[in-house]
Amino acid sequence: MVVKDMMPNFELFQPTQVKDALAILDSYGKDAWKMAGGYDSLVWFKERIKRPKAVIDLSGIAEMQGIKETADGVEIGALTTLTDIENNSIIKTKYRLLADAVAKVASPQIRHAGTIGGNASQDARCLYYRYGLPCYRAGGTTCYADTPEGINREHALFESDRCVAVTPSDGAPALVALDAKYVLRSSSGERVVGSEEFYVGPKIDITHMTSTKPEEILVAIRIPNTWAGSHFYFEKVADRNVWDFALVNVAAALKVQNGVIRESRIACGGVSAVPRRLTAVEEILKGQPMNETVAKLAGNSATRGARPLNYNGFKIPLMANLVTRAVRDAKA
Amino acid sequence: MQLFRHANSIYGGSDVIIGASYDLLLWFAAAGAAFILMHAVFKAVTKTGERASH
Amino acid sequence: MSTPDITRPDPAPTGRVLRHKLIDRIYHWLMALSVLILMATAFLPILGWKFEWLDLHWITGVVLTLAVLFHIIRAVCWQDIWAMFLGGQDLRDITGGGKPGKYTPAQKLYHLGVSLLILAAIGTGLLMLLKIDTPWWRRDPYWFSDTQWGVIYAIHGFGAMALITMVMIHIYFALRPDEWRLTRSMFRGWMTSKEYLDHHDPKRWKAKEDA
Repeated sequence: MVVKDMMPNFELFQPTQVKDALAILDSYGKDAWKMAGGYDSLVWFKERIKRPKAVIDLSGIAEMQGIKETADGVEIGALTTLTDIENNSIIKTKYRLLADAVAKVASPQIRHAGTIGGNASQDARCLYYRYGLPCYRAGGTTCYADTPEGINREHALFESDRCVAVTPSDGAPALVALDAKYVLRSSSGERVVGSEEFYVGPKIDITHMTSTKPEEILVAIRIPNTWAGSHFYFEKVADRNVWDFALVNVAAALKVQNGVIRESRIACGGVSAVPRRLTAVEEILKGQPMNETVAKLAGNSATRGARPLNYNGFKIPLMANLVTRAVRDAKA
Repeated sequence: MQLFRHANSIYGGSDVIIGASYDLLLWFAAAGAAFILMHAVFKAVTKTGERASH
Repeated sequence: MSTPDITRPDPAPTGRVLRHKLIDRIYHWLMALSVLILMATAFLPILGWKFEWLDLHWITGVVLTLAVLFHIIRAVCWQDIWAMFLGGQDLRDITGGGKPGKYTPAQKLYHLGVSLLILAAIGTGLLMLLKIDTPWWRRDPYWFSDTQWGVIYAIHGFGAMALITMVMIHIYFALRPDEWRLTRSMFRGWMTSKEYLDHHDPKRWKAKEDA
């Protein structure tokens, strides 16, 4: 069905400034494709499922690269590679959660070229969608995964609405737990949104994972000081240890004083279309001692409201156990 | 402009219709606007004609 | 008690003729609200305004279906259903310029068009409910083949988009000063005896005086 021998033709643009990239975006509109590291984009093109008229290779834009400390925290250029984040001293000392998370992405080779912007904005990995079928996420009118015979082992437990695909990103739950802000720029200005607004589920937009508009570019991600130096925990469970997407992952940031959890932000990936922030668990944890009993309570609470599909019921105990471990084992 | 949205069929390489094209949205709105405009102009002209004949 | 003869040549200017009963006005406005909500929830997300539209859309669709069902039963059993159908006399009205009964040929034509579009949208919309989770069932897309679903979606889409044209025209006529008497009557239920005699043929619409 899908020709995989070579890419179809497109116009390639390699701007070196954001304003030039935005101008190209404006002229091509929805026919333009923004490419960062290219690991996801090139597969889409090669499989001829996405056929943009113009590809804007952002990798030459210096302004969108690097990590700098600001008065409020840290700003990471969207084109900063995952390896650079993993090895950055500021990230490692203050926001270790993100370093731990990106270290789990794919393989070393991919992390050398893959960017935080691309990782945070990653598209769904549902096999039906990736195979080029006309599913809801592809603009069609059917979900092939959530059917009596659909293969849905890797799909959503929560908040699915027609489409049951999940966010495959390892970086995204860590960014949610760190209360990151996303800087989106267009030729008409800039807006900074929180994770709740950046990530969108199928109820709001079934064909996109983020609220980034076609005319916008994610230029940077800002992490505030709020959670710097907190207790952190990241764990990913996948079918194999490298080069695989998470079945479920958990990212937790906890402020702990004298063994008591004062505040927390916990998010799970692989369980819904957006990184699922566990606000109910966070409420439960407030003022509780950091011990096994509380951790178990947190784990059990995390999965309340889960609606498993035919083949992904195993994700419920998996998620509960990961959250339990996150609360029990988070370290400063 | 297309009349339909198409996709590959799950059962083979053939193209199947998956719905009406959203490109038509503006055309339907334009048709309504055109009707309203024509009717309003027609009514205004005939009213002026009636007044003149009086 | 005898009904006063409002077809007399010189009606009192304050006399009122009942045009729409309260129940029919409620139906009309419920349908109008439903159609507007359905259009907003269908088209605004396509135009780029993203929000959680699906639940509001299908629940409103079910409300509209029930309202239309009520209207059909009422029209067949308790109202003069033929008053809304186009007939030979309507054609003669168009060419000869005679006064219409309760509804003009244009209104009947409009009603016919809107009825067909809404019935098409409702019929296909009810089938589309099979593809979403509702309190009564889990979705199952295997009721129809891809091609059949495509036809169902296309009919739903064309019907809904054509309703944009029809709604625009309807609102335009409702706002035209020369049609205000009809718009007012959809709020208040009545029109004046003078309006009745000026614009309608009392032989073809034997109206009752508004109580």
